[in-house]
Amino acid sequence: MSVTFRFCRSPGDEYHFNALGIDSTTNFVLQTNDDLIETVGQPFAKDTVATVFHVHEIMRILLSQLDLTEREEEMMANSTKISFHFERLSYHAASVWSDWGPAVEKAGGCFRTILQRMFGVRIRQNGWWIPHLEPKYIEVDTDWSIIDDVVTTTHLLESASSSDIWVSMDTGLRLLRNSAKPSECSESLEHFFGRKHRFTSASAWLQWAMENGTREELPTDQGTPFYYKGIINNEVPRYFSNQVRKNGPYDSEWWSTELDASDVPKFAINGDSWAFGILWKYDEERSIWVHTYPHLRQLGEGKPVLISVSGLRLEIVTDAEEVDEIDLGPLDVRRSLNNHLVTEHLRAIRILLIELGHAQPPSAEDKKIGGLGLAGSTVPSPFSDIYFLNPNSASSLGVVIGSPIETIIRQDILENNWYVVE
Amino acid sequence: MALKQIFREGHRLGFLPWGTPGRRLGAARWTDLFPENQEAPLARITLATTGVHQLPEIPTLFRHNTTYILPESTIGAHFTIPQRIKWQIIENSSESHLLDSQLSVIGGENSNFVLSAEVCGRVIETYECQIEERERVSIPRITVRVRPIPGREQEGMCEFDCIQRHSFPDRYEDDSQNMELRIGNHAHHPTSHDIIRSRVYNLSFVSSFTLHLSKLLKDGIASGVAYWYNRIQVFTADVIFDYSDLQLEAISSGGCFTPSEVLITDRYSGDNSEEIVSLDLCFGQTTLHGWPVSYTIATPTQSVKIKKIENEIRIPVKRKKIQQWFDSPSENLRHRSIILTPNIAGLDLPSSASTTQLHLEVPEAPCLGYLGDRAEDWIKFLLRPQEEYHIIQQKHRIVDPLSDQSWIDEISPEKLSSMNRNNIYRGICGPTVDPPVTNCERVTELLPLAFNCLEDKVKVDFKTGEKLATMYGGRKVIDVDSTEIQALYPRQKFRLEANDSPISGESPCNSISINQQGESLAILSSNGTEYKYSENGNTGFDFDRLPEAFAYRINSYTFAAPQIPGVYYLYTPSEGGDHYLVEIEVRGFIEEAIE
Repeated sequence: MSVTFRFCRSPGDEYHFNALGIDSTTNFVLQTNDDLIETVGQPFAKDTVATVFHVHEIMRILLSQLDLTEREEEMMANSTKISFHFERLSYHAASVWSDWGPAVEKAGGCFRTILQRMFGVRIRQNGWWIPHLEPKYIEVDTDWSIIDDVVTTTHLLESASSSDIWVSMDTGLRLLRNSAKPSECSESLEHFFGRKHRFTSASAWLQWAMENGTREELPTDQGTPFYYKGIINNEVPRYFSNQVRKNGPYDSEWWSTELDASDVPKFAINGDSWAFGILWKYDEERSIWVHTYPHLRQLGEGKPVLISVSGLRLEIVTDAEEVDEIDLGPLDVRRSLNNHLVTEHLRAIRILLIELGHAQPPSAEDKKIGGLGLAGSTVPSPFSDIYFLNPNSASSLGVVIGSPIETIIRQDILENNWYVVE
Repeated sequence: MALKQIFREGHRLGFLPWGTPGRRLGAARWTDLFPENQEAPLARITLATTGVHQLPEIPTLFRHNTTYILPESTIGAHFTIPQRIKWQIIENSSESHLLDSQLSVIGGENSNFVLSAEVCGRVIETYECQIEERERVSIPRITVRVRPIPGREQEGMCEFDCIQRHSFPDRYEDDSQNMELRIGNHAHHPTSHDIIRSRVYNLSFVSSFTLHLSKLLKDGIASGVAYWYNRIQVFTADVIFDYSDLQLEAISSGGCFTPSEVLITDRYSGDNSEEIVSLDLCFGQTTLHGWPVSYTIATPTQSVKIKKIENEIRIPVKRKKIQQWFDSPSENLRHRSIILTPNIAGLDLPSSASTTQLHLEVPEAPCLGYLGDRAEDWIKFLLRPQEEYHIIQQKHRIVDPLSDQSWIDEISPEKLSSMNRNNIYRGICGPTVDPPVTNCERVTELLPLAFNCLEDKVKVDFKTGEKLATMYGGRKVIDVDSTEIQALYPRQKFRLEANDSPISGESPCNSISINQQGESLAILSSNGTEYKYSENGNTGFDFDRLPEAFAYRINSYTFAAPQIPGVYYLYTPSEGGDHYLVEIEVRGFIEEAIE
């Protein structure tokens, strides 16, 4: 028996565009922060360099075409199916646009990370997700709204002119002019950032921590007590925790071993005077300084008030359905929450001093966000402030950097983090 | 989205956004925490005031008819925000007034007012301010020589001139209007005063004074301030008085007691009219510059003014007087002072006074006694008559120390008496410190390292011995003629001296050490690194009693005290016929002394 192989002609571009379901001649402007690259007028044209926007658009096309399954009275998408179809559409996208692979890497690498970055959702293996197929907008200011749905740009252009949309090729951010937006499907930026679920001010945070902390003596074998100065000059206070963790508190101008030192601020809380302290200890194994036991130390007599996870008696309960995941243990969650608490405490102290006129508040115009202690995470997601504002374009550029809403978003995020921005 | 639910005491507070691969996505969302948090205004936390507000410096001397802008706020510092100062005039002998922070100064020379600075509702500082009518200009310090004026009807009159010449950067008027010299709180006016211009910017200030000595030397003030007034300025200079021309040293006096010490037992025993000491006084000139000189003798009980009769006088002091002196209240228990103060022209001169002291000698109290409840104050014990000692001794069956020694008759009665007295006191009194044996742990620990017992001798390890030496605190010299108890510490080194010379020769080798129970103890002798015990006698050396042994270095005449605290007697016969006996208390180190 013999088999004869015969070469066939590869499918033409028309075939791939049809498979993707887009018109290659569609006109709208794809914006960029890169001075060396011009904006693109026909983003879908053949041989166009693929960008983060293209990856996001393919994901939207996929979700709009996907047969959804009804579960618990909701129409849901299965992650395995999303993965399969993303690979299929990637084949067609790579055939019409160059550098598809690097674009996918820049957008997150795999479909789950891409979705996480687009919508802040986490798609688990064999997990289910409800895609926002209906138009949904987040009204940022009087001019622009963020498009927060999976409606494809091609479909969007059927109801809005190309001048009404603003799309970033670097980050995938899509904005729609408010004048072209239907009124009934908007949410506020405040809702988007969950402002109602944050403490309203540095004072509110510290007051809550003080009232819910535990009065307890510090252990003597867990490090040396240091007290936070909050500011080192009258400029914008930027505290880089990694530097202290590396070089130690003794070499840091932010920390003092003397509670009574004049440059350690004492705050009036509930009629007494308090300073913020922490235990610093050198970790031989990791070769870094670690901080534990954040506390408020009262001047004079009295035990300190511990305001760590245990001091605040916080407990972490993991969702039952996540147990099968490769999740890290509760200890890491506690450690992460503890770091978050310390970041909040230190930022609160700095902000109190700014409010009292001892240092400058950050400006919404200033792109530098380092050292401000924004409530973000290095994991890119809409839950992270850094994800929106990171000025570093090398790895993951902040989503709104270079966009018309950059300043207003930065101001909003600074305010969410208790900064009073003029 | 994945969540890590945050609970507190059973209540859900919110969640921590959580993502792949097990890392926090963002800030915690306090979704279920206090809905009122969003509505009720929360207390704004402010800085606590932990320091004091610092005020800017302001002058306290103001010119008449001027205005001065007082600082409006305090000086800020770390976490201390400058606060507004509310100024007020709270006392006023002038017509000065305040309008906000503008001070209008109106008032005559030396009129004054008090400014108060109020910050945050609290007065934190007050300033006593003076007004000057004239501009004050300082000129360099003047030293004036005070001269006596003999032959004046009023005794003690002196004269001096205040003269100063100075070159100023500005041209000042030379219209001298007034001059005064302030000494302490008193102002004095000159017999003449003038301001003389020698060049355009050079002025000379000249004033002559005639003052009684009491205006100058009273209260011991040796300086003043001179003020020359013209119409617009007042020129001030510090004035230092030089009294060398008065030759006050010619009337200095002195005195001394013979003897200078009184034994405490002499103070009460014997006839009250007995002359115990004599006070020798030596006086200076009877007159100075024609002014009469007298003296005041102040004893602890009275003050007597005497006119000098001779250059030297001797005053016998009886026991009764000494008792009165030492019974009089004084800060010092062990001496009383006699002060001799000269008086010239009716003025006492305390600065020329001399002081003579009579000391009360109290023997050192025995420290090592037995535990008991019969303790008695040492001084009171000393003042008991001799017969009472015997009664106590018999009552408590206390045997005289060393009474069975063959050489006891060779020892002076004074020394035997003091040792017997000390022994009785030890017998009836509780110790003033804890039993010293318990305080010698460190020495006990180190000594075995320093002394190595061989078959017939003791080898000294000087390396570890050095550590002990630092603890001993060096060498002590013991005067073998003294009746005092000698206090030593375990293994402390000492030398025996008589009349400031070491007891030399081989005799110390023949010394005997005896403990309080009358047992003879060994003395080890050495001229190197090894100690040997005496080969006299039939019994061998009991190495177990090494801690009780005195160690003697022949080549340096140096003894080392026993290790075990206690009372020891060291008897050293001498070839010349003298017999030396020393009562030694070896006391335990306290821990602090070891450290």
